[in-house]
Amino acid sequence: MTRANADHLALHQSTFWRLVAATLVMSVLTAAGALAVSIWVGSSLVSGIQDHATLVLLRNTIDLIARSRMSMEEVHNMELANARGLLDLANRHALAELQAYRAREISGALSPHRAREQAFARLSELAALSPVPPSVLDAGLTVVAHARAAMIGRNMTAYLDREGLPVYGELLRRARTLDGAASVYLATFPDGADQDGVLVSGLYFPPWDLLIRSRMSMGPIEAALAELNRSSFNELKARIREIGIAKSGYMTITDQDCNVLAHPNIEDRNLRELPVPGKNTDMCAMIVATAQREWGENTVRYDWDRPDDLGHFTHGKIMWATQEPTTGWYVVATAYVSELEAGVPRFFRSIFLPSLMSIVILGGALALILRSMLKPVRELTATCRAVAGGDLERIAPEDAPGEIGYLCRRFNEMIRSLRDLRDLNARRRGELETLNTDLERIVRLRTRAVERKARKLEEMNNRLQELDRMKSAFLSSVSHELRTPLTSIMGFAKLIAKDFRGGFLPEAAGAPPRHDRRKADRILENLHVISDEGERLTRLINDVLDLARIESGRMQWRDEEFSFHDVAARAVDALRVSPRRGASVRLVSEVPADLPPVRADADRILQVLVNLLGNAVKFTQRGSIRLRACHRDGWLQVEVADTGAGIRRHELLQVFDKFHQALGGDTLLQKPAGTGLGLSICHNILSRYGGVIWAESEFGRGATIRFEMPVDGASAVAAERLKEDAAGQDGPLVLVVDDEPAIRAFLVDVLKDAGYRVLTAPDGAAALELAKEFRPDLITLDVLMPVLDGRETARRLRADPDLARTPILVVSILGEDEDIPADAVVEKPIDEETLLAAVRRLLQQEEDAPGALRDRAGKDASVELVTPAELAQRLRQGFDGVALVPGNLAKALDLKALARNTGAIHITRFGDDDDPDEL
Amino acid sequence: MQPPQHAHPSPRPPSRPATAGLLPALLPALLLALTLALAAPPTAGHAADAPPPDADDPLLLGINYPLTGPYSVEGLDQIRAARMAVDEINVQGGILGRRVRLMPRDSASDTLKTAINVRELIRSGCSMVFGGSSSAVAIAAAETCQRYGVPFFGTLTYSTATTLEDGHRMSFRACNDSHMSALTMADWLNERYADKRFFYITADYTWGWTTEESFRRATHTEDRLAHPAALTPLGETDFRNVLEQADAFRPDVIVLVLFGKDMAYALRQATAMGLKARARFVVPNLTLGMAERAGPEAMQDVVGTLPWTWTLPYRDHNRRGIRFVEDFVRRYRRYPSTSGASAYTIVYEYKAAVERAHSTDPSAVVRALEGHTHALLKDAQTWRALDHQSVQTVYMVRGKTPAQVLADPFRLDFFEIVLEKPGAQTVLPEAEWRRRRIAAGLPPHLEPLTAREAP
Repeated sequence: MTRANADHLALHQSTFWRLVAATLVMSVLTAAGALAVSIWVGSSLVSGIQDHATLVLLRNTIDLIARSRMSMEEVHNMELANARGLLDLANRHALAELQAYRAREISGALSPHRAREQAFARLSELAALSPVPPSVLDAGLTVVAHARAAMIGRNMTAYLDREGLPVYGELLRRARTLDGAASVYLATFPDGADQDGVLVSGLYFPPWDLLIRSRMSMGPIEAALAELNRSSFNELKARIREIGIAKSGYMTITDQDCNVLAHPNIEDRNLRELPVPGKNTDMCAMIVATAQREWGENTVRYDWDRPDDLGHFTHGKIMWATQEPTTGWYVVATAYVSELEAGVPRFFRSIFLPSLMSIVILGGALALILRSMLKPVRELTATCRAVAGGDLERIAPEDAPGEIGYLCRRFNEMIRSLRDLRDLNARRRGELETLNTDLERIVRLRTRAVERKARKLEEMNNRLQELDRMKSAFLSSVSHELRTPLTSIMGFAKLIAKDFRGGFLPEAAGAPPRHDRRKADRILENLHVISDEGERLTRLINDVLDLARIESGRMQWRDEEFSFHDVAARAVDALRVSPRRGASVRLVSEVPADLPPVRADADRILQVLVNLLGNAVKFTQRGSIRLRACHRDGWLQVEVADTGAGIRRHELLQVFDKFHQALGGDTLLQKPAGTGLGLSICHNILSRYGGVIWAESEFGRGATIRFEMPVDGASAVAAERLKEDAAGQDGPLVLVVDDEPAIRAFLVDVLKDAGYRVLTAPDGAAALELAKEFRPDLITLDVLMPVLDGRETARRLRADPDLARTPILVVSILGEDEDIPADAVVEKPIDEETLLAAVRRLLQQEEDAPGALRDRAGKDASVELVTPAELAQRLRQGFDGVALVPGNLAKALDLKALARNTGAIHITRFGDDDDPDEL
Repeated sequence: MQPPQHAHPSPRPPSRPATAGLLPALLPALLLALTLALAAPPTAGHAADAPPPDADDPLLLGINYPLTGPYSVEGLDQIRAARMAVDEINVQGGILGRRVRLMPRDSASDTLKTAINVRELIRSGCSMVFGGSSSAVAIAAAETCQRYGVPFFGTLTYSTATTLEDGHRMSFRACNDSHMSALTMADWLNERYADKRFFYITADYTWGWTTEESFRRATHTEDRLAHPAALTPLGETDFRNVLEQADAFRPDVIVLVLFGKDMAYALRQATAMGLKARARFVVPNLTLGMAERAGPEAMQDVVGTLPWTWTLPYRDHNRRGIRFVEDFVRRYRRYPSTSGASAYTIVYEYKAAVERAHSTDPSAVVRALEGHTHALLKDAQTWRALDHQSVQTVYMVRGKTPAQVLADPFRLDFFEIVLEKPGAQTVLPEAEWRRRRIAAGLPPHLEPLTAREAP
């Protein structure tokens, strides 16, 4: 784990403290909210309660006023009823008297006139004694009986009250309809003493058509009632003054016109005279406007200009007002707002403090609960850290409740699983190590065996190669050596034949004896045989020499552009010159003249054609031999068809092998007509130009030999040039295989600069062909390539016995890959130095690999380390002693020459694949 | 029907800015406060809206109502409702721009006092007189008003005489008459008590007489021997003798043609005597005040009629009626009775008539009222031009159980509406009215409009 990761995973801030902080913030916010709400609720509650209380007070005051009003009215009604009763009693008394006199009249004791006179006189007497004197009026409203005699005889018709009604006329009219009941009327008069009115009560006496009436002035009654009302009203005022609102609030009562009826200190004033400060109105208008509002809304706030205790003039007051229904009086309650709101802080405290306390308790409890809830989480965190640190022995506590407990238990299960896995892993690793050791031993043993076998095979291979080389060299030298005596033999044979013909035959020209002639002819014939066989032997030797030259790479090629048509014509001509004896064969050439020029060695191509045509002529008795050629897609296609014996199917491939001769039925008994190297030489020549040759035949019906070669043979020429380079220059040959042209070009530049010869191939297939052909000293190989990738190419290279030991340097973006049997790997992008170092190492070309010299003459017998260049110089100068020569240098030095020159030197080669061998 | 609001008016928030300048964290609290503040009714700004009525020349309305006496129960409601109506009208700007002022007088349900009062009121310059819970008072007041040419509105006066023999051109009756009451209950009673024994206990004055007569006719119990009656004086407090007399007769139905305190005393005493278990009690004209005086136990199962009860606006979803009930409840901590509703309607009807006539001239006001249909606290009602009877729906009610009554916050939920009859079906037919007028020696029409007599 990196340091940055560790920092990232560290627990910077615990959940507990974060939650505590959040709770704290929320508590503060909630408390602030509670503060605001409690201020608002407290004041509105106090205001509401006060409002309610005052309205109740107002309602009670109204009831009080109505009640006292009703009792006043009741007293008034009672007085009126008393008065009516008194009048009625007086009238009934008078009526009784009248009825008594009427009875006497009926009984005849008194005459009607007497009876009336006596009755009226008696009533007048009685009336004078009565506190409520009744009087009697006749139907014409003339007084007939009265307490005061002066009134008797007066007519009352014109006695009108204030409304203009004739009081007694009205009374009589009603009394007549009431059938014995009292007719009562309250008359008020426009002037006079009886301003309160006069209550008149009348009774009708039908027998004599009389109206008995009595009257009572309401003045004294009203005066008495007024006194009663006053005292009652004073009592009411006193009660109302007693009512207090808050500290100094009070109740005021005014009548409908705002005249003050009850007030703590104002008497006999009209509130219209009292302006309201700050409002364009007077107190009366404000009261009236307030009182007529809906109940509950009948309140108003205003400022009063009486200074308060602190001397402030804008002293807020509140007023509730209403009109008492029965009297129409305005009932007003007023109080100072500050006094009313005196209870607000208490209310506020009573709301806020408990809520603050509950917030604090709740917060504390929450913190405690969180703490206890987070304890298992903390322990789990510690366990996590321990487990992350590799301590699998630690276990989280499992007794936590709920989801956390579940988490802990699951976590512990995980730890146990990890533990099991760890143990299993350790066991497996042990087993694997044992297995590995065994395997290594087996591999070592097998490797040693394989190495032994490989070494044997290699030795054998080397020996075979050496033998092949020696064979070619031998053949080459032997052929060369053979030609010298053969030339002499042929030359002498020709010379003898010439001499014989010129010197011997002319002597006998005149008449040579027959037997001499025959003898001479036989000699000439034999000399021809010698000459012919010599020529055949020369051809044979030439063919062998050609083959050896081509195979050993010592053939001199002269590539040039030439006309195939001309070459074909020359070949046909050559064959026509010497047609076979006794054969009737037609030689047909069908080579068009417009073929494009071919770039190759014309002589070799001529040799190929002559060989092919020659073979055809050789094996064809009759029929025809056709030479055809055409050009297609840059390829020259040539066929030579004959009608001869043909080739057996199994021999179709073998005919191109060295020293193979077609031994068909017909040819078996014949003397072989060639060396058996012709087709092999053709194959080699065409291969040089990238061409191919093959045979088609139906045995007994002739054969067709076909070959194709590129017209310009550019690649072949380039390859040839390379080959020439390879032959001509120093430095190892490197085959660069890469599909990317740019990389190829880069590698070529780098390697050429470093003094290597370089071949390139764009893919694995091309690489394999080039490698087989040029045997490079080193192959650089890309892995990802088309056609054949690097992996498969390497495998095939390794499978090829000729190339198996060629070092392979993989140059790839993939880096090391165990699948590729590579000797070294250089990763792309390529570092020049790394590449060259790898190349040098693989070619065992380390420049600084020193040589070592021990001078034989040196007395101290010390070893001297020298650079390769110095070593080479010292050796050439005739060093005497033991020299250790690096492998690469060994190749450069002509060791054989050194061995010849200095017999005393002892040279040890090292670093090469071969076993060090002493020279 | 939903119960009215009895809650105390919402507490008003203080006007000083207690919550100014607080942290944004208090936003939820502020929002809550704001919501509550908006939910609370506005506190000021009423008085300033209306043009100031002319205080020096107020329009005087005389109210002659029984503050004392046997019908004082109804009187208080009248003056309270009238005050409310006047206050409302003044807030709205008065009548024709003139401030309205009430002149109250205690009638004590006495005709002499009424005569004195009405003369005084007219002398003081009242443009209109209304009130009264007794037909005798109404008749006396109407007579005086007719003489002086001042419009009069009878508030509670159920006697047929008020708009028949004693009907006047200046006089209007806002409530129904006993004929309408009797016809409203007739079907219901005939269905249940046909050929049963009825006993009448009747107040001995015009309303008692005419109501008994209407009732007898409607229930086919005109035979005074088969269905006897006992007369009691107005203001009687002891009905035991009469009730014993009734009990001795073993009636199936006892009709209490009593009003106000009289009816309450009689019913309580009847209940105490156990009469209610033996006979069905019928009270032709019920009011809330009477029921309150009698008490829920006595009122249980008693049937009667009334032209309005406070539960009616809730039943009919009459918003104006509901507002009246609730304003009344807020102000006086009780439901308005029929008497209050009648007085309230009269004030508003007078205002409407004056405004239609553009004048307080009595003749113009009377013409504006005649034949006019209006609807305020209940369904539509019409001032019949013929006799100035307000033709309206009458409701037959039955007393609820004491438990139901006591469940109400004011213990005033007495009446369960049994049925209702539209005014057109119950009002005295016009032909019948004319026939009776002629039989009483009166012209078959009201008086022509004449110039006002100065008192």
